[in-house]
Amino acid sequence: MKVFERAVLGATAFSCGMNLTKSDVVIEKNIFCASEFCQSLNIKKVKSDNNTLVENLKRRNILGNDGLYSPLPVSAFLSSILNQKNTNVLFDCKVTEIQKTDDGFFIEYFSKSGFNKILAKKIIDTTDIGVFSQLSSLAEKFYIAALDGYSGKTGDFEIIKGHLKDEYFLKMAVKDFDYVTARKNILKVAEENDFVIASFAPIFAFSYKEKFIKSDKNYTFIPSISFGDFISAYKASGELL
Amino acid sequence: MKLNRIVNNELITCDFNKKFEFSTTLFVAGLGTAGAVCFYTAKKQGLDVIGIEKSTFLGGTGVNTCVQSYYYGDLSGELVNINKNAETKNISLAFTHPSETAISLNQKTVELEKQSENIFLDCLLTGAILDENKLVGVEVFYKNEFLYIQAKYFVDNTDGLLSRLAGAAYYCGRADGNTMNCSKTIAFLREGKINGEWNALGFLDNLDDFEYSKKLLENETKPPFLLEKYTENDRAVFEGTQIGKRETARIQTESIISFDDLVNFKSYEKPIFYGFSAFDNVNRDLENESDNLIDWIVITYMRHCGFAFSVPLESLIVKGFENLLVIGKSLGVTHSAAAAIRMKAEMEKSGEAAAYIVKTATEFDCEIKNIPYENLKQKLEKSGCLKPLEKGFFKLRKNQKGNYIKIKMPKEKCEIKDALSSKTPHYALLEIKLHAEKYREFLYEFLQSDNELLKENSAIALGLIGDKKAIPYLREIINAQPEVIEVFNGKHYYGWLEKDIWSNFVKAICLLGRFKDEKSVLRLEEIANTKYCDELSSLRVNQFSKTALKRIKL
Repeated sequence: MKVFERAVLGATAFSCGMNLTKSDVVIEKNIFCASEFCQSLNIKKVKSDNNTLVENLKRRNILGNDGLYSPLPVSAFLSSILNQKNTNVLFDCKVTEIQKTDDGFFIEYFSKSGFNKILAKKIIDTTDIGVFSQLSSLAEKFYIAALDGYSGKTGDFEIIKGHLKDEYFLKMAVKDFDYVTARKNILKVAEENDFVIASFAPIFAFSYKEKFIKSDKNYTFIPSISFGDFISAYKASGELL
Repeated sequence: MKLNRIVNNELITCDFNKKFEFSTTLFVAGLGTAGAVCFYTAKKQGLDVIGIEKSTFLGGTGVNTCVQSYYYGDLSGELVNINKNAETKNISLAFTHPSETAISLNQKTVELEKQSENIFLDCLLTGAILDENKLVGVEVFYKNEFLYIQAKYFVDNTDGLLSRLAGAAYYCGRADGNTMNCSKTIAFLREGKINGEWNALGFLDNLDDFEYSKKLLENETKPPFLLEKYTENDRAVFEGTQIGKRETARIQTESIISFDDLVNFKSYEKPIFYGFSAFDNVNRDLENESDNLIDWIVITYMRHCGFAFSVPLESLIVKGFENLLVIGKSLGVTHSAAAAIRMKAEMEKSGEAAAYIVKTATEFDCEIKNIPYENLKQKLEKSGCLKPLEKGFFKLRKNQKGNYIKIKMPKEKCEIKDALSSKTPHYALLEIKLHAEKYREFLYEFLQSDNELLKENSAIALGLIGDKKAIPYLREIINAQPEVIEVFNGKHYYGWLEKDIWSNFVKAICLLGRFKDEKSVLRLEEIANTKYCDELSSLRVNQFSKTALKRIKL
């Protein structure tokens, strides 16, 4: 069984900013990075203070001076940062059990090769609401669709803007809806307002009122999304860990 | 009862004594292209059914990897109704090549989700429960806990995972264990239409989780996932949430469809649907494919030709199981045949057919293999799922009526001779491969001709049918220095190589390898290390030579 110093749950913006080494492992259930700010289509305006990350994103025309960005290219760019770190990454791996032991934590995950186990001395859980949804009561839940054009209509829904000129998204609060109900509801709003949906987000979006950190005996909850935007999350990991 | 799980690629069994939280008649594992239609059809038939899907959408590879069109395939059956009902102006349309049929996957997902009761999305299949070798239930991981579902019948649309968990025999891909290339897609919205772009990821099956993840991560850093600079026309709206697999584990079913079955238009006693395709194998290392596929793609160059085929009931029934069907890409075909039996329309029909099979089994309260076929056939014909197609080979171009153009195969001696005397001997070569004895003597005669092209193509034809008389002529072909005969798009081509058409030089290399011709070794070694001026052609020639050498030396 492989043994690691730290297991970071979620290949999030926060994780991408961490000082990761060969003795760490990042475990992500999806096959991309920073989904909390990107594939969820949950665009959170960033402060575009000049730093290397911001400059690079602006140069590629992914981020504007107004702090708005194109979500999927941000994910790809953060992936390129993670790719350059000398660390271990597990994509497409779903954590199914965590057991505390004297030596740390046994983490069981399910992947294309079935069940597997690793041992990690510490866990840093950066996922939206905890890998087993332990924090679900603390976060608001949304579902978002990318729109094809936007007429300017407003209503009982939120329209968020991306970086590109015609980049608009329709965002709705979904409480405890499942994906099917969330999609039906968002399509209903589109039909009522004559919007055209380009794509549905593959995952829910979450939001916290404030930054959340809780640490207990080598298990730290630090949802990346609770930092408000991907730049803050990315920078925070360098400062906190 | 026993619970089977896969642990680090090995099937592990333990006792099972937990309670089932759910019980149903039909359990559909995987709501992908095939499974979603299976579930939808089963619901319409009034069956009690539960379905699970690991992604957050119905529609599987199609939706999750942005396959926004039907290319090839025969559009018939329930999929036609689903597509029609799915049309809505409030979801963007897909862009696709004019020869293909565009569908909006988002529209389709929404339509399929209208039958969403008892669907568990974002749910993993993790185990199979057996009672004295009979599949009775499954273990799933859903909303952070393990649940147990009992069912009478099971349909596997999980790339063969359920069947493997149940203990079914399976095989993977070709002789070297690799399947067809995997890929990952990202969709852009350009001028009001969605268009998926993809990268080939190579063979992923034999990589461990870390190597696999590294490959996926590296791919994220390249175009089209990460561009140097984005313009207003580069709006990425959806990224593939799973890897596009063109081929999955082949489950051992009661009947396996082979390459020969397809090209000889095999008829079955109990067909359940018909399909139409070419052998759409996108692997670049064709030299490692089966001789049959190399014959089709390289030697006869029938790559751009399609054919109809039928799929029998038995190729969905998992061998040794009375209540388990496999649908989608894992149904019973060989690796070579898998290149043809994987089109979206056929995958959907496999799902639809599975629903009717289970419906019939419940009506007669019997094992699947004992269902009265005539009763099933009526259901399939009524829905349009079972719609016979014309036998023959077809160009993959449609006429003004929207039909594929049938190829008139050369049959008479003069037709064969004319074809072999031309730069497009393809149909003649295929005809000779399929009916060798009819043409062998003609070929011997043509070998004596003064017409160099006729002689060369006849040597290729004889090599194709394994006739050793071809060997000296094949040696002549590879010993000659290939001359530049044509310039196309600024590139130089050797021998008879034009655009995509494989030159006799490469064909002869391939065939001499099959003959294990030791006298060709020195020349093949020279060719394997020669840089020909066109990089792409050079790679192909070098690789084929190396493979031929390996065959001779083994």
